[in-house]
Amino acid sequence: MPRPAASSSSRPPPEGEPASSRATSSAESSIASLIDRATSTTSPSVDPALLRAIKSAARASDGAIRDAFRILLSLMSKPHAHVRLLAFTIADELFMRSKLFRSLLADVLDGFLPLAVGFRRAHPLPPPAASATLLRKAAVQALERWHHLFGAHYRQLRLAVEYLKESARVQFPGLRAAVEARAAREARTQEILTAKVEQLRRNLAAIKAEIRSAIDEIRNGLDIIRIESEKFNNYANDEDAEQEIASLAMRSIRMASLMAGEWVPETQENEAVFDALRESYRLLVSKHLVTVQEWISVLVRVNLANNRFRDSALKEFIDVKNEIRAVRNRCSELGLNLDNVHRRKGVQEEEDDDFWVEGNIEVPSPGRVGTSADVASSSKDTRKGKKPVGGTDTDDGKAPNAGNSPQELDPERAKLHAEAPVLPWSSVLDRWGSNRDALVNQRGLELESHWGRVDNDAVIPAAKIAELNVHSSIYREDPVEILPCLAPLKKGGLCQRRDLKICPFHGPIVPRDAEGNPIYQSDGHCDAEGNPVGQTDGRYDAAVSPIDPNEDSSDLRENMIMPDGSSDGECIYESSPSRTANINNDISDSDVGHDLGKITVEQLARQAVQNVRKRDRDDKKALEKAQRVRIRQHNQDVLREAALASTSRSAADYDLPSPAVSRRGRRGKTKGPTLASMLKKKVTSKDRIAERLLNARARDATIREVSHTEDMSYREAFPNQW
Amino acid sequence: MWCEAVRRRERGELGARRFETAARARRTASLALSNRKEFATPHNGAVNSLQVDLIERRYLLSGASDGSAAIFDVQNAIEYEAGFIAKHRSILLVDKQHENGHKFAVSMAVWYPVDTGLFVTASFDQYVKVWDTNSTQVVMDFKMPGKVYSAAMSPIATTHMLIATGSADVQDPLNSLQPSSSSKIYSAQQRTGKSKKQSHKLHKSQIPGHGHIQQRLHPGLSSSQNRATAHYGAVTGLRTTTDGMYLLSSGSDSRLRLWDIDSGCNTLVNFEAMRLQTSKPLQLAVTEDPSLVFIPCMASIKAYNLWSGMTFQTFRGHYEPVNCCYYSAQEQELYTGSNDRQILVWSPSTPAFTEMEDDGKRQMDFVVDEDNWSD
Repeated sequence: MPRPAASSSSRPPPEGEPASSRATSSAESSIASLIDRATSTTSPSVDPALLRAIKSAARASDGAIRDAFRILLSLMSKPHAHVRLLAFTIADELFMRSKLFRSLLADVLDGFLPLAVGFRRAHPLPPPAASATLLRKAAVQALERWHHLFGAHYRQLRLAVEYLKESARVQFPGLRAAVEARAAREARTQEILTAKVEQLRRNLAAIKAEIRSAIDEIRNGLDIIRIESEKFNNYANDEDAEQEIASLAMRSIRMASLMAGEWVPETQENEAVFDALRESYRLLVSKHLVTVQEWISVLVRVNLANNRFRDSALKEFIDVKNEIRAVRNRCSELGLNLDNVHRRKGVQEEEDDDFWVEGNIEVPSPGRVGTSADVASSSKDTRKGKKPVGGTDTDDGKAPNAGNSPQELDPERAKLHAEAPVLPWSSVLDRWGSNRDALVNQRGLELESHWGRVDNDAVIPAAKIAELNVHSSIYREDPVEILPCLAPLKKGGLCQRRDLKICPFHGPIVPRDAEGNPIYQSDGHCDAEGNPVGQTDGRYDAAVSPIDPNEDSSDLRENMIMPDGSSDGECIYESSPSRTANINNDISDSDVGHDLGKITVEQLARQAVQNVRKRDRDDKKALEKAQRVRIRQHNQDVLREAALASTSRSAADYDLPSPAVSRRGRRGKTKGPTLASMLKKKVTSKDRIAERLLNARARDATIREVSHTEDMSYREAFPNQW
Repeated sequence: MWCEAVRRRERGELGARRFETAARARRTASLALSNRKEFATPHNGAVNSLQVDLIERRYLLSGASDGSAAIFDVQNAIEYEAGFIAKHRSILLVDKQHENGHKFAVSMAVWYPVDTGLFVTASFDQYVKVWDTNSTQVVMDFKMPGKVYSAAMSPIATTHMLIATGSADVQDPLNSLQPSSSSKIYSAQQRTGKSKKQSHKLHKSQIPGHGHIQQRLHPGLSSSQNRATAHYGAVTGLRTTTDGMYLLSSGSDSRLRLWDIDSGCNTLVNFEAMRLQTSKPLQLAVTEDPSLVFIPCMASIKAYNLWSGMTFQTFRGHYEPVNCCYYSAQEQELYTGSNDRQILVWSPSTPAFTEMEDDGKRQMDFVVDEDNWSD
């Protein structure tokens, strides 16, 4: 900033200079001011930049650390939880870094901890409560961390943790313990895995040989079958004329399909081969594949010092696995459905199925083999096809018991069955038709688990039993289906309320059609939709339905007026003088049957009544709404008044700006909430109203009392003048 | 500086006795909470009394409010934690589970002065029991008429084997001797200065226990014209110096006074302000050369210079009021027992020694205690 030297000398020195000189003069004062600044905010945590500055200042010298320690200790004893929280955060940072700070703090830890954790009942943490909770949590966590890291070096830390845990019963988060437990579990797993790998190292060759032999067996079996099938295919191909499949593409497709469907049905000749194949396949898939997968997972998870064996073994196992997969795929490609052998069902049941199916297959299979077109169908398919047959067979066998029984009853009995009432079970049914005397013991008639002596004389005679067992039943009302109201709703759809007679929103429940229009009956009630009035002449305006027995509707009719000339379909209403209505009544009476049919008149009358009711309802609604608005307005007024002027302080605050505010204004900063403001209890409008009410009540009581005493004194003064 | 003293001793410039005294004084002056040695407390209540046996100076006997008494080996630790923290676990514990254990709090546990084979416990369940240390059995018990607040045996007596007890019953005569096979009960009601005085003369070194808190003690009442009150309030603790010349008394008026036993006069040493626990008997400790007195002041222990009354040091570490402290002259260690169940060891902290010890035993399991300024 280029400026004349004279003018710059006249100006006050720039801000930075004294600060820097102060910093150089004493690190203590700078760290003190830094800590002061860091802890005098209402922000939830210490500003990271400030924290860094504090750390670098503390790093400079032991004196700075001592100073910081002293200041932090004094801050920790401030009666403000937020200041303590911020101070504790800084202390935690310094504790984790400086040995000197650690030793200083350890010496006074017994005084420091109650200020941070607040475990002493006589000295709980100060307000505000939110910061106090945070502080306690942070302190306990930090203490646990300190204990874990430096516990061996500071007896005080061990003591503190033990005391808090055992005596003060402070809950530690136990994060460290959880981590350690997990590590221990990990280590144990590793141990087990290592042992397994050791075992594997010994058995690897044997396992591999076993699997290899199984695979070979399957391969051999497949080869045998293929040879047979090739023979067969050749035979089939010979039979089929090659030239039929002319194009190369067609031939390749055909070859593919043949390859895919390369299958020899199980016959008696190759049954042994199939059995062996199935056996080894089962072994391979259910045992070897699973073991191989297990070993792979073990090898992947294990953590060995020497990974060479692991890698080689893993490689081998993966190869073996791929091989097994290949064999399995080949089997399934060949359509050799060997999977069925180890389906989830019980093996025995499976065998039974096989037995049944096999027995049935025997007959049709030669025919099938003969038709080569069916080559593609797998044994599964055939089996599926056969199963229902077997099923029906068994059904037929069982049939007489289950399905056909009703038909076989004699008709008389069926008739009786139909008439017989259905009774709920009761003890009557237990003794139905028996007229023997009943034995009893001390417990009454229950002789089921009576193991003791039986007294044959202790009986209840049959007559008495019958008397006791008289059947009684409670009348149960048949459930009545309550029909829904079904009146059309404004938002669309029909009203689904189920009321017995009258829907509170839509009046009496009448039968309605699909759109909610009432289906008129001879003396039907009025409803929401009337015919347009525009159809009618202007000459008569209101009509009364003579049949309507409803009293209030007749009242309404009296209140109803329809001015002449309302021909546009809109009814115009006024507040109703009953005279005119009467006149109108007369007119309408005279007009009944004048030139319109009776139905129309009735309809009109209904419409009129309806309209009046609707208007009445609307009026009521409007009135209610207005009332509500008034009440709300009143409440708001009261609230505002209460909020403004319930306390003199707030009233004063509201009226004239307090000196604090003005000072703040002068400083030119819109300062946020101060630390002191955090301590203030927030007065809600609810509190104010409660206070006001209380005041009012107290005032009333005082007035009453005063008047009473006045009255009394008056009576005493003038005993004969009342 | 200690090397210098050793060198002077080598050269013969320093007498053996003086060298020893200087070393002891130096070590005593550097007492601090020990990080190398700790007692794993088996007690579930406040520790009421502590005593190291007088023969081997090796076994620490503690009595606690949960009715238990325990013995620790002060010299040999049973196990080490993190390689260098000697954890002394109790080698013997008698608690309520024991068939003959005390029902209520053990108020005092003292060793039989001439042998570690016996120890005596006094309890609020009105019993004083004599235990065989090796078999952990009660060999004798005495039913007292009230709560027993204290018990003591004379460490120098040769003509009798009496246990002095302080119990709640005030009607018991002063010298009621209850004959028994090996021990006799000497029920010393510490009501008057006279009884006090007698016992001083009797023992000349050890005062039998603490004043019942509802009674007043006038140490110099009868022997001199000084009829002034010793303490305004209950006397809560008594301790003679090891040479038997002086008596220290603490009272619920939060005062510590030093009495000249021979004359029965108050020495008028003004001990600096302290705040003492008023509801429980206190066990004070004095160094062997009498230069320092250790007194439990609520949750801390204060060391006062015996002759000037100046506060020498404050030991902070307990979280609840401290009841008793015992200074082991052999090891120059201070043991303190508190309401927070802990028995803490305050040992001479000589950084040079501990660092040397550390080098051998240090394990890398824990973070090294060094500065760690990452940023």
